[in-house]
This record gives sequence, structure tokens and C-alpha cells, in this order.
Amino acid sequence: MSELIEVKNLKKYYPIKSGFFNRNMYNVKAVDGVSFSIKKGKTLGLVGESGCGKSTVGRVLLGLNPLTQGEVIFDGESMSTASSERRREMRKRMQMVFQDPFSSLDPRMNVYDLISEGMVAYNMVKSRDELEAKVNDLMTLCGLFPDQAYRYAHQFSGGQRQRICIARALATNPDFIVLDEAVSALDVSIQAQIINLLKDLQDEMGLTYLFVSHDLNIVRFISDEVAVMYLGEIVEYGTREQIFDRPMHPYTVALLSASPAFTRAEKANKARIILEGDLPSPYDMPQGCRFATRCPYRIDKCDQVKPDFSDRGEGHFCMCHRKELFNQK
Amino acid sequence: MNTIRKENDNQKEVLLSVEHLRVNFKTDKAILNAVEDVSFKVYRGETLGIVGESGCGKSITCMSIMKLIQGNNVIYEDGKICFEDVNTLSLSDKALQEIRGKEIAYIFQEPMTALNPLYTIGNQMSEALRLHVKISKKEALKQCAHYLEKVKIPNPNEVLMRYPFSLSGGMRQRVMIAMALITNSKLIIADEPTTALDVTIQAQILDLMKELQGEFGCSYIFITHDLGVISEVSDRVAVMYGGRIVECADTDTMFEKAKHPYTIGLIASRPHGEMVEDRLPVIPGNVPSLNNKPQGCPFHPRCEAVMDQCRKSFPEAITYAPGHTVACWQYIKE
Amino acid sequence: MKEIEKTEYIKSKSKGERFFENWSLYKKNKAAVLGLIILMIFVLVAVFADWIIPYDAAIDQSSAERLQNPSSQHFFGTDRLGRDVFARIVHGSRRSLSLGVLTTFFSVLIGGFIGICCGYFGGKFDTIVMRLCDVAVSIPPLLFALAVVAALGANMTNLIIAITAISIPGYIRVVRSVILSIVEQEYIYAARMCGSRNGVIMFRHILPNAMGPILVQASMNVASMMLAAAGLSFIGMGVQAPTPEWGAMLNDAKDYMFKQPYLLIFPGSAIALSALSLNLVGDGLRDALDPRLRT
Repeated sequence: MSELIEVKNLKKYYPIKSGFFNRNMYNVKAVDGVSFSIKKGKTLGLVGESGCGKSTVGRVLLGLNPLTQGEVIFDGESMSTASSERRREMRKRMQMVFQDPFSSLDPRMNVYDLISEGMVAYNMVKSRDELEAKVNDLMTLCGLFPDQAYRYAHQFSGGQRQRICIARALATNPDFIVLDEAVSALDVSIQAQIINLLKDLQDEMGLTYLFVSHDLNIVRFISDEVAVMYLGEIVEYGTREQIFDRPMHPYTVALLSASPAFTRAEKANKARIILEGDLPSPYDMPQGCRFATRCPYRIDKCDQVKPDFSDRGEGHFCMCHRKELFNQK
Repeated sequence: MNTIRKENDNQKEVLLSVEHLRVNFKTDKAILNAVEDVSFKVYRGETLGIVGESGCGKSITCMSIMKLIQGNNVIYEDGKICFEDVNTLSLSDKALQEIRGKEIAYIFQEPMTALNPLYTIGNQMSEALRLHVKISKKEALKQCAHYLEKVKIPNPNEVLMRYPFSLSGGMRQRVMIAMALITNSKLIIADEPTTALDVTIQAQILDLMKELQGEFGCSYIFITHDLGVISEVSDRVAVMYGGRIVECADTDTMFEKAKHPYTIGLIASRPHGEMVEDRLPVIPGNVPSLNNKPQGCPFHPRCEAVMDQCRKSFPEAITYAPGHTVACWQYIKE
Repeated sequence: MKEIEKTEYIKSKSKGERFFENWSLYKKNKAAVLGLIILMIFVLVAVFADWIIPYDAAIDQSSAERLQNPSSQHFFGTDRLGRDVFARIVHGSRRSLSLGVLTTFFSVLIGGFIGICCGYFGGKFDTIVMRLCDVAVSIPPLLFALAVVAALGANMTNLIIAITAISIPGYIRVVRSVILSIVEQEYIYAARMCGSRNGVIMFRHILPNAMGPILVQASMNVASMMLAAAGLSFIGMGVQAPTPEWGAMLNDAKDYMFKQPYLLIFPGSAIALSALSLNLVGDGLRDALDPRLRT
């Protein structure tokens, strides 16, 4: 199986300007050197807390925000060196589903216009009849009734809106979809419907997903591989089993233990690590390991030297000095 | 306060009892039943979790305890809400004001909206305290610092001087908790208090709330859509759907032996650790909105075990086991 | 959800049907309908002014009939030169209304376009335009208009140009700030993901969503445009002396405020009523065109 998308050392800095001449005072490093790749037809889960830069990765990847540094290779072709027309062609094969199905649908457009927008923009259809038929098919595929095509977004419930968003994303026949917290804003009973829909679509059309989420349980269910982000960096990367059954980074361990347990049995065999304190401010990032300020296993070295992002075997990467921790298999 | 009623079945003191509460909203076109015939009790020192999806009426139920939602278009029909034997629904606004913030405190999802951005934390906390207790400003600030320390805020004296925007979400929520505790509230109603927070911060806050409950002996009503949070914090759980309580039981029973088809479906549809299936079990259909609630049992269009009876009327809640009530026609024998 | 699950296929609506739908929504707003009626009366009066009362009545002076109270002969009385106030208001409506509406129209058009470009593209262009606006706003508006009229010559067209010019910077700012909040919405990102080009995004997504605040701002501005025109007329830089115009009439009447309040009341209420009606119509349009308010 080949890699559909490859990201190399992606960086996104937001300059903070101030002073009379709008001088660049310092940078907020939203994403600081992120690399990963996703195989065709697979799902990479990107987990982390708010402000860790996980959503920015998705947006920069798709070119919605310009990147500061790094390279994005889509299907063997570098996005950064391609001409702008070529890039637009490539973007046709990449789509995105946003977190908030309320604000990601233009309130002044009906469902038909929303779904057909991409096909019209890329001249994918020849006649109005063909377009109508396509919209019809997409709506049925995503579990909507075609007779609702001329309704407006506000007339639908949250779950149906997210189905509209998915139908819209599928309209340009993409290979790769970034799902940015795509189910987080939905009701619990609706979340499951949408997750199943996403899985069905993946099986049917061989789609590749980047699933950005803060919900570990859902990421565990849907992903093949998982990357854990903390303050703009990937701190641990591995297969689903590696991350959830044998986590190595103290942050991953803490994150897993913080997600609420369900039944008595789950509660019983769960050791909780409660992290102290808040995230450090992005303006004054720690010198060494970024997690050092909250890490319960911190040693002196962590404050000064930044740990390597090293392979601990079988493609399980981790960025931590204390390799002896959590290493039992 | 008056005499405190003792329950016979279990020797816990009832702090708050809601009986047959109905809240309707009047619109131009129709009268919407936001809350229908809801009854529950909260005991002293316990946590009652109310779980449900958007529009199920969980927030409205809890806001109506202190009549926080008022206006020409809100109708409180019959029903009774007894807080320490006082029916709050029949109280005047002035009397309610006495109880609000002192006896019963609210914590909301977004503390930023509950804190005035123009005043310092110290200012707001001490004002809230001095509304109910007659002490000097200096004394009040001292108390505030003490309570900020209780909610584990580092450098409380410095935080008192700061403005809400300069605190992180977790810190703001801690301030809200401190404000609820400082007046010695007996009941704290927390409406999705951790939904806006990160998981690691959420864990901190939940832990803190449990710890403080042990120390102060207050009761919580915890409203959330997150089953995980509910199972972590609450002693008993009430599940709401379409403006009604469909099931009520203690937490372990609820998560292991749920009886109502909605509860069963809700718990099953959450992905969890050891899942081997490729697809999640699903409750079909959509969450009903207020203006087109189905007739009879509001869950019947989505229910697999639907019967004729379900379409006609809503079942009376029956006691399935001690402390476990279910409102479903399946369990009602002829 | 029951209603949605019906399975009859709804076809897209033709233009006629859409218009009818919008109209039936507009109708529901009683205040907006009242506004429309008042506006229609004003427009009819302006169009058929000559049939209502001959133009001569509006400019014929008569020293014998100076400063009369309303009577059956002169419905609204006469002014200091003995001209019939009713006739002047009827004929003044032509100039006043077209001044107010045309200047608003052009300044919304030009200011709106520049504002959209500023808000959407940002960067250097935005910075330069905004600084220019700052400069323009810091000049007293009447002085600025005066300079424009003085340079171009005093007539109706130049008056419109001058008043449009002074109100453009305000529109640029309003529109820009509205656009800035819309550009950050996720549906704009979504439209870009669909491959839509800038033009499509600006005019299909951003503009319709910005229409509400722009309409309100515009309808509120019509009255101040009329008054600005009156100010210029007063110093002889606008509509020339005998030609009836509401703003100018108001200015004339200032000295007789206590002696002959009718002189102030009639043109004043004409301006106020027309502004009010435009305001109501603007509000009604905003609501009728917003699909979110449909059920």
C-alpha cells in the first residue's frame, strides 16, 4: 500500500506584530515541525487538547491557511512546488468536514446549492439534469432525503447538517478528507450514526481520513494510526494498538487516564494521573521538553534538552527522555 | 429553615424535591411543552446527574428550580419544587433573590458569560458574598482568597486582582466553584461545567468538585450530555428525553442494567475501549425538537420495541427495582 | 421531524415563486407594510407633483400673503416670501427624495465594493484604503462637500457627487467590519474547499450574508443625506434658491421657529416620515430575505 499523503516537517507560525512600524515581535508556534504520512484508505487520528495545533495541521494541509515551512506531498506530488492552477486541481481531491455543522453551512443557501457548489466550481457536470441527479445521489448516499434539497440549513437538525457537510465534501470525488472534530458538536446518539456513515463511505469509496479530535474513545474506534499532539508537536505516534494499549509518553498516559471511565470494571482497573496546572502560554514556551511543566515524571534534563522523536520499535515513535517509563510490553 | 422531612425507605434527607413540574413556552403558533411531568429528588450530600441530548429539557428543568427563566412566554403549570420545604415556584422574586446565590448556586458551561469582564475577580467575588453576608470589603476579600485556595488556585491574592479574560477556562471554572461555595450553598447546579474544557482539565475539575463535596457536604445537580462524566461524578442518574425523565437509577445500575430502550441505546452507541465490532450500535432517527415532538412516548419513532400503546400515551413511571424507576410500556403489565 | 420525512419531491422554485414567497413574508411585518405604503405615497406625490398642484404655486411670491397660517387656500400656510408651503413640499419631494435615495445608492455601491475588497483581501490594499479613510473622515464632511461642489460647479449632479463622496468612507468602514466577521466563518472556508474562486465567494457567500447590516445602515442614512444636501443648499452650493427642496425649506424656516412653527413642522415631518418609511422598508427587506427566519 502506498502513501496518499505525506507531511514533512510542517510549521505554522503566527507572527505577533506590534509597535509603530508593525514590527514582527515574536512568533506563536501553532505547529512546530510535524511529520506524518497516511496510507491510502486508512485513517490517521490526530488527538490533542485545544490549542495544541491539531486543527491548524488540517487546515494548513489543505491550503486553507498558508504554511510557514515544510512540505506536503499528495499522491507523490509536492503541493508546495506545484503551480497555483495545478494546486487547485489537486485540492479537488482533498476535502474537509468542519466541527460545527451550524457555522459551516452558508445560511443563505439551500442544500442543493451547497452540495452542487464544488461540482459547478470545477466544471464537473455538463447539464443541470446531470447536476440534479448527482446531488440526488449524494444526498441518498449520506442518508438524506432528496426531497429536502431546497430547504435551508437551519431547517435541519445537527446530525442532518453534518450529513449535508459530508455530502458536500464528497461532491468533488475526493480521495482524502480532513475530519476536523466532525462529530464533536453532535448529540451522543447522532455521533454513532455519523461515525458509522464515515466508516461505510470509507469502505465503499476507499477514502483516506485525517480524523482530528479530542475524544479518545472515538479516535480509538475509527483510526488505524494515531498521533498525539501537545503544543504544536507530535509527542507520540503509532498504530491504534500501540497508542492505546502500550502508551509510552507520559502525556498520552495522562490523557488516556483522564477520559472518564464508564462501568465499574473500567473504573476499577484505571490508574488516574491527574495533571497539575494549565497549558503553558504559547508566548513563552519551555526550553526543553514542552510537557516538562506539567509532567509528573520530570527530571532535570527535561528542562534543558529537547528530547528526540525516536522510534521505539515497530514504528512506535515517542518524544521523551525517560525511555524506561511505560516500556513494559 | 423548617423541619426536614425524613424518607422512610432510606434514611437520607431530602434537600430538593421536584414534583410533576411542567414548563411550557408560548409562541405565536403553539404552546411548546419543554418539560412535562418531571419529578425527582436530590438528597443531602449526593450528586444527581441529569443526562440527555440537546432539547431534552434538562437545562430548563434545572433553571426553573430557581425560576431563572421568566417572561411572558413561560408558563409554569401546576407542579411543585420544594427546596427544604419551601415551594420555590410560589415564592416572590424578592424571596427568590434571597435563595439564589446563597442556598442554591449555578455553575454554567461558559464561565466567561457569568463573570463580568469589566470587574476584577476579587471585586465580583466579594460583592457576591456581601450581598448575603454583612462583612467589610476587606474581610470579604480575605474570605475570597481563602476559598480560591480551597479550589486550588495558585497565588489566590494575585488572582483576585486579575480580570476574567486573563484566566484560562479551567481557572475561571474554579473561580465559579469558589463563588458557589463561599456563600455556603447547599445545592450547586452545574450545567455542563466541563464541556468547554480539555480532558485533562476536566479531570482536574471533576476531582476537585468531588473533594469539595466531601468537605462542605453540599449536593450537586450535574447536567451533561457526556455519559462518561456522569458515571464519574454522580451517585444517581436521571435520563431525560423529549422533556420527560425516562429512567432514574443509581449510577452503577444505570450503566450495567439499564432498562429503558433509549438508555440502553445511548450507552451502547458510545465507542469504548475494548470494542471489537466494526460498526457502532445506533439509535436510528433524529433527536426531536421542541416544536415537533411526537405524540405519546417521545421516543417511540426511534424505538425498536415500539408498541401501539407507545404512540397513544406516555407511560407512568414504575419502580422496577428499589431506587430504579423506568417509564416504558414494556415494563407495565396489564 | 415528521414533516421533513414526507417524500414528495420539491422542485426548485422559479423566480416568480420566490418573489411571491418573499412578498408573503414581507407582508407579515405590519410595520414594514406601513413603511412601504408611506414610501409609495411619497413616490406617487413626486411623480404626479404637477397634477396635484402647478409648479408656479411653489415659486410665485406674493408679499400680501406672507407668513399665513394653514387655511383652505394654502393647506400648509405660506412662507416668508408668500410662497405656498404645500406646493413647495409636493414639488420639493422630487429633489429631496432623489437626493437622499441616489446618494445613498451610489455610496452603498461604491463604498460597499471597496469595503468588501478590503475585508476579503486584507493586506496592503486594506491598510492603504483604511488610512485614506481616516484622512477623509478627519476633514469636516460639509467642508469637504463644499470643496467638491465649489470645484465642480453648483448643480444637482455635482451635489449628488459631493454628498456621495463624503459618505463613502463611512460605508467602507461599516462594510469592512461586517465582512471581516463573515470571512472567518467556517462556511467561507468550506466554499474555498469546494474550489470556488474569490469572485464567487465574495458575491455569492459574503455579500448576501452582509446584506442585513448594510441595508439597515443605508436606510438610516437617507435622512442625514437629505439634511447634508440642505446644508449645502443653505450656503448656496446646492439646489439653487427658488427651487423647492425640503432641507432648504427647513433652513429657511429656522428664523421663524417660534413665530410660525408650521414652516418648520411640515418640511420637517416630510423628511422624518420619508426617512422612517425607508427605515421600516429596510428592516422588512432584511427580514424577508433572510432564509433563517423562515420556518
